[in-house]
Amino acid sequence: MKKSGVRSQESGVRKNARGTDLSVNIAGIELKNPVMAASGTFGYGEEYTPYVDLNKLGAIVVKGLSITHREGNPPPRIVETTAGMLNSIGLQNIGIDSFINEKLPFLRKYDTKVIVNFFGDSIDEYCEVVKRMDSVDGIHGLEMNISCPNKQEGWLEFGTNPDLTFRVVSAVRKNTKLPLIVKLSPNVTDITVIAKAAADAGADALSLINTLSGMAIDIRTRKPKLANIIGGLSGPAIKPVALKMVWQTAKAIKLPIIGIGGIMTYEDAIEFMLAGASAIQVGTANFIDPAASEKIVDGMKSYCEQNGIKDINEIIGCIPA
Amino acid sequence: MQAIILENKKIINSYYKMKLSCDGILRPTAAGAPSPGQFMMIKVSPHYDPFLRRPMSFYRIDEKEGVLEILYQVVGKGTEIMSELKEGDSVDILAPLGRGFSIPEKMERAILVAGGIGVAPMVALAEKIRGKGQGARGKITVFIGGKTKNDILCKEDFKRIGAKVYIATEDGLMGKKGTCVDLFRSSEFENPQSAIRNPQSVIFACGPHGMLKAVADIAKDRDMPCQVSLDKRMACGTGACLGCVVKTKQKTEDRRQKTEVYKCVCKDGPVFDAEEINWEET
Ligand SMILES: Cc1cc2nc3c(=O)[nH]c(=O)nc-3n(C[C@H](O)[C@H](O)[C@H](O)COP(=O)(O)OP(=O)(O)OC[C@H]3O[C@@H](n4cnc5c(N)ncnc54)[C@H](O)[C@@H]3O)c2cc1C
Ligand SMILES: Cc1cc2nc3c(=O)[nH]c(=O)nc-3n(C[C@H](O)[C@H](O)[C@H](O)COP(=O)(O)O)c2cc1C
Ligand code: FES
Repeated sequence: MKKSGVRSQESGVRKNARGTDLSVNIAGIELKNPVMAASGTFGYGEEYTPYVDLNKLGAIVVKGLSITHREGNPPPRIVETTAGMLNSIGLQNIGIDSFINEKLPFLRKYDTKVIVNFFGDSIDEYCEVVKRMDSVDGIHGLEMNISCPNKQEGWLEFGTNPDLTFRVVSAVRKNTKLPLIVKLSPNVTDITVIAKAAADAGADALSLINTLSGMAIDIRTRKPKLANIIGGLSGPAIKPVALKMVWQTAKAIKLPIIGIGGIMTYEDAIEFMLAGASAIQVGTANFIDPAASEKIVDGMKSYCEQNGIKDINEIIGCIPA
Repeated sequence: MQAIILENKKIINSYYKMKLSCDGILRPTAAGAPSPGQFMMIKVSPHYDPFLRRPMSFYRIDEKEGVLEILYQVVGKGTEIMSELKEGDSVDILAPLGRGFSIPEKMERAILVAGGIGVAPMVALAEKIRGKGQGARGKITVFIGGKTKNDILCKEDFKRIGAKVYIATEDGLMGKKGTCVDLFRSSEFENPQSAIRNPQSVIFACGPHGMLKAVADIAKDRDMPCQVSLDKRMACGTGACLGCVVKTKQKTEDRRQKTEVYKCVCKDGPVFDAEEINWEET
């Protein structure tokens, strides 16, 4: 079954010469192709303009924003691991108002969708952030990061508890009309339980996965390599885990799913779509090759042409259950 | 972009030089031509191990020939692979990145302080200063320090450029016994004490963190402007991941109050004003 919902009304316009249609619709957001840049790995877009034509991407998900700016964690914040990296950036960001005033005008110039990733320390903070965005021109959708600790309830991460997930997503849903994507944490026993809580609370789509919790130790100094001791693992090392979670969630939940985790090439992207993702995000790959996202778009197009796929929506979730 | 290796050779022990033909980059772009203190991110292997790119400063910049040179020390997996690359191989690099040294118009003397491999960007800087005709012959003074005589690099480069070179080794077998900081501390360079900073002598430093902190302290005591090139582990090199931060002091415009903010070494640096860095925190 096709989970991506409505197909593009304008898809005719977007078909290329050979007739492959890459457009998808996620939660009412029309994307010219399923490739987005993942939050925290693409800055606010500007950083990548020397390397990527932003117009070629389906969407840009900006670095996670909060109600006021955040300092983030002390360094060292990153460490390389086998086929991946750990980060403990600590959600450093410039705050929602600075984003709207200083960064958004630049992004508005491009023909690509802008999705704002956001978070808070409490349910109220989440709601405050979304209220600021409801009638702002140039924001096409919201991605809610629920992998953050809740300071009012023992610093338990919202996204690891179905009840907290339901409450925070419901509250945000009441405060915004924008398409709402909930980004799930993989650090849970059963991701479909959290996915269901988010769906029941009114999410329009789900994106997964965020980074996997991990750590690394320097055996010479006998100290953790990150100042924060633990961090989030990303990159090709997490791809099989992410793929499985996308597949599981796609089977269990009738919402469009955005697949994230270790996507480096178009082959990886296609794999995620076959597992049930309606779109994908490119994260850490941007660090290795700043043009990775654009190359993935081109690769997906060639793949479709070579395999006689007229519409990318045909392949979504195309593996036996 | 792909750069072609023109030469990759060992200088001594674990130190290597690599010459890269990188035409496109040296053509003036919106980002400007590469300048001393800026760096490249080099993908040493097309595979996922090592996974991230490695930052390397420009050791020499030849705009006419479209050639960038780096000087590197083998310290781990990535640099080990680099040392095995051959002439004719191509490597993927991103360049030019970051903010390099700025050479003040009125500068009369440049004082370069380099510890170990930190000497790499100093050669490009000295060549640029000389090229600009700033500072008469001899007005570039270089203090180089290393563990042993085999860790003293680029002596000949600086002599060719016409700089005055002072050397210190920790074992004392070449030059003075001690570090480049000791050398600099015992020198007599000082700007006249005055309310307005006299920028005639400017310090440029690159090396291990402790060394830079010590140089910054001396510069402050002597009221000399000082630019330092910092080294932090990086992932993106473009200011996107916020992984390479350093704590800096900033004056807020409205409140005239100092606040502390994290800045990215890759984008806001790697060269910073020594006074801007919070040396206690980093
Ligand atoms: C802006 C900038 C410019 C640089 N320019 C040069 C240069 O011109 N020549 C040169 O030889 N090196 C330079 N470096 C340092 C160089 O990038 C590292 O030595 C290199 O990345 C190590 O890679 P590796 O895989 O060989 O070592 P790894 O296997 O990654 O690490 C080996 C050891 O070195 C440590 N290490 C790794 N990266 C760094 C780092 N960035 N800073 C401090 N310690 C580190 C690790 O903790 C480990 O102990 C520069 C760094 C920066 C940030
Ligand atoms: C340096 C870094 C910063 C990140 N910052 C955010 C963030 O602010 N908000 C968020 O929801 N996810 C953030 N992520 C997670 C990514 O968006 C993505 O979910 C994760 O890295 C897995 O995908 P990848 O393997 O393709 O990188 C960050 C990841 C990295 C590596
Ligand atoms: S290395 Fe990514 S911001 Fe500096």
